[in-house]
Amino acid sequence: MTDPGAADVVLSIRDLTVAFSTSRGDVEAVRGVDLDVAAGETVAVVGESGSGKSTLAASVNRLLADNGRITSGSVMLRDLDITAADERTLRGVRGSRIGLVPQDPMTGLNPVMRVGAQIVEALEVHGRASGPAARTEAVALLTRAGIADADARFGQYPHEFSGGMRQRVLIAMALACRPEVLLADEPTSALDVTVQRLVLDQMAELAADVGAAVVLITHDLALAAERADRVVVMYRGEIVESGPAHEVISRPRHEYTRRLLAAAPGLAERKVAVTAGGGPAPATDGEPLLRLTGAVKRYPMPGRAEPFLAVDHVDLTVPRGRTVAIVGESGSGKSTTARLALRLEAADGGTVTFDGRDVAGLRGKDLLGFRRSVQPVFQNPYASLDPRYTVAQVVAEPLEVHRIGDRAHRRRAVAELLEQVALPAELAGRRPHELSGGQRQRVAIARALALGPDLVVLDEAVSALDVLVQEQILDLMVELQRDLGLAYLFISHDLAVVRLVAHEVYVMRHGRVVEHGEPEQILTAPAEEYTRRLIDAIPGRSLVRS
Amino acid sequence: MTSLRTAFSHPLPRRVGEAAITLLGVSLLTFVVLRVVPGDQITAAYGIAAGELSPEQIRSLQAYYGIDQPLPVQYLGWLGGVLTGNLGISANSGLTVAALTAQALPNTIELAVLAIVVGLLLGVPGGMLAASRPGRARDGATQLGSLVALSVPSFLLATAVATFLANQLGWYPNGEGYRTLLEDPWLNLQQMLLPATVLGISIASPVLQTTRAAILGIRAEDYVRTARAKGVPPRRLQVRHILRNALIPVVTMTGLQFGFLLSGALVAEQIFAIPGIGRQVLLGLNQQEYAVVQSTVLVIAAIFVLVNLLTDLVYRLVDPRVRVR
Repeated sequence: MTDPGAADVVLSIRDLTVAFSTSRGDVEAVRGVDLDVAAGETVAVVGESGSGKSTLAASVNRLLADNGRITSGSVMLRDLDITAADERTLRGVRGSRIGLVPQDPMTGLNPVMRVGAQIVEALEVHGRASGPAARTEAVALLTRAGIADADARFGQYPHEFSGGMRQRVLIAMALACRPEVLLADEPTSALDVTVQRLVLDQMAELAADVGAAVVLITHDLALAAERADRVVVMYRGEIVESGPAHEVISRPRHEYTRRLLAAAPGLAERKVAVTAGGGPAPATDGEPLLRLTGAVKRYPMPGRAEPFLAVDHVDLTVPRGRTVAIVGESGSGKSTTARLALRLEAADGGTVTFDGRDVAGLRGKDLLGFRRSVQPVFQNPYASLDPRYTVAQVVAEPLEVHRIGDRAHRRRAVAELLEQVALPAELAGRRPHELSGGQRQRVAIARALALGPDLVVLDEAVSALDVLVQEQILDLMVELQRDLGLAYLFISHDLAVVRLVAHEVYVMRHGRVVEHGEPEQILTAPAEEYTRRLIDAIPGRSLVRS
Repeated sequence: MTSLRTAFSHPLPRRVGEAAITLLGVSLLTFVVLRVVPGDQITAAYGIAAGELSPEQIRSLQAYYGIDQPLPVQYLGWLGGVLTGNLGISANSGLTVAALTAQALPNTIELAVLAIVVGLLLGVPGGMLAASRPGRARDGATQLGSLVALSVPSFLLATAVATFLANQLGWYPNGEGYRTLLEDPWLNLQQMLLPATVLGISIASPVLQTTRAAILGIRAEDYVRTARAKGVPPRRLQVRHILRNALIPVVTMTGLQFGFLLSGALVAEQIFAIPGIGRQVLLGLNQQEYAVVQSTVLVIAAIFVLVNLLTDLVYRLVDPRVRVR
């Protein structure tokens, strides 16, 4: 159904403009948008944060924030004008004719209500079923959404479900009343790639069953192209390009689309050369900077005699000036390995050496010296900066802790560091909440660089960012490595991102390294079935092959 | 050894262990503080006449009151008694502290429960009202009211209310002797009405603030949007999704207030002549009755700790995330 003119159009948006009233006056988040979606069709809306794609979705079921309003245009659900409907009518439409799959499954479910009851509620409020019939129906929905043993899990609470499972619950809930339109707002951005793939497969299958028109909101063009019939690219509130998915990918007309395409990790070019020439010289001779030998980390499990083996005899080396990546799913032990390297945790077995010295034995001055040489950058730029500190205070703090320089020296150092990470100097006085996600991550990198480290440990440092911002941060990393000779230990669940920047890759599963090697070798000839699954999960992988 | 450690890593035994240590600390502290205060039971009993007692008389009185022993021996003797159920004897009335407590405690608990009920009835709907239109007149008025209620000391409010009702309306149920709930339920409830309201007003304020803040926070949660996107009508949204989650911090707050009431009821008990546990401590203090004060304070502390334990259990009921699996 690539020709919407001939198809059964369910959702029709005409000249839609949405404005938010803010302290700086009205801001138009969506401007003059036209969009048609037909039954059974999937249309992907692609754009970066702030492009207006989520606002577009929120105006379809009229769940805009309190300060937002539709200033012109119309949204028609068949012959019902959503923009003109009253609240009572809208309540009847939400959930029954328009389903919503929200972005973050971890916070999308009511924590004090049983999972089953939340699905039953969706059926009950629209009078679709009640009592035992609703229960039977809900269990069937959960089963179809891919939840094994749904009958037993019906009575459990959301915290007893993993992220992927919760998203399946939300999908089952959104489709419970067989809606005509399904809005999926970044449904899998918070999930591991392998889980993402399964969940999207499941969602597509269920939506097809119901015959719903799907509006898929995403920042990842590769994912959009793979999953949708048509792709609509939004930039600063306007649609800049639209067309059949394969056409947008193969012949992008707009400059912004080309940028998105170049930034999609599954489609982009590698940023570092593995062998000499272009990249830093391989420093294979002599002692590597970081070496883990048979490293073990156990955690006691409450109520169980056997401890949990988070890291199980891991051998890993990071040479100077190189990027070594660890990939794996959630719970594979990659973050714990990073914590061992940072000496935030002590190994229960094996050794961790840095620059030839066992880090376990470091005390006092030596330990401070180690802390100066190894710096972390964490995943969530929203949570890893102190909200009460200004940017300058965040970046200067390591210098203060290690008593480096006087006040004037530190001020100069902060200015230089901000320049190094390409942040404008006027941001120095701002606080984290005034910055975008990408800017925050730059601040975190500047803070890590303050002490002139040899090794930076990046734990999912770009996973929470939009593709374009992610690309900028990756470019910055590569540039800094070239200029300062940094070594990186780069932790990620996404092989596509790893491929772009790593010289060497370790694949981890259940606390063990299952294989390691150069990224191209791992990607083209994986030795393990598990690695192959990680590769297949890369969004846009199928496009590259075809 | 490991089995002992696993047993204590389980929340409940650990909490009980912590409670026991807290109580031991309280017992030691009360004991020491009482001994540091100048004067003893002899000066309390004889007043200035105590100065005219001969050394032999003092010695025999000290032996009578049991204060001739070294302090550690006195402490351990008392503690041993408490552990075997003997809270000591009130020298003046000749009654056991256990008997006194058994009379006084139910009155205090009744008062505390009634005050909590009043506090919740005022605080939770008040918080919902304030949160319904944040920043508007209704919110401002409710918040101002709660601030005033918090700022007026309960002894002042209690005195003012009691005086007004007695003088203007001639209604003063607390003028007669106190009747327990079992003796005369109707009169008892009249007698409890005023102190419970006065105490309830002071609790309503923090409950209101907690409810308001929790509702406002929860309204912005993703799962509330999920529920709205499902088409859940407003009333059901308010109760099932918002209030149900907002109650979690309110439970914690209420538990804390209940413990506070047991000791804070002292003033209200005094003003409204309710023979509760607070009055028992006060009387004991005035008469330097070591056994009465020590044991009663320990009983209050024990109840305080017990209430906190109960709060934890209720917390587990309202919040499935902290339930023991």
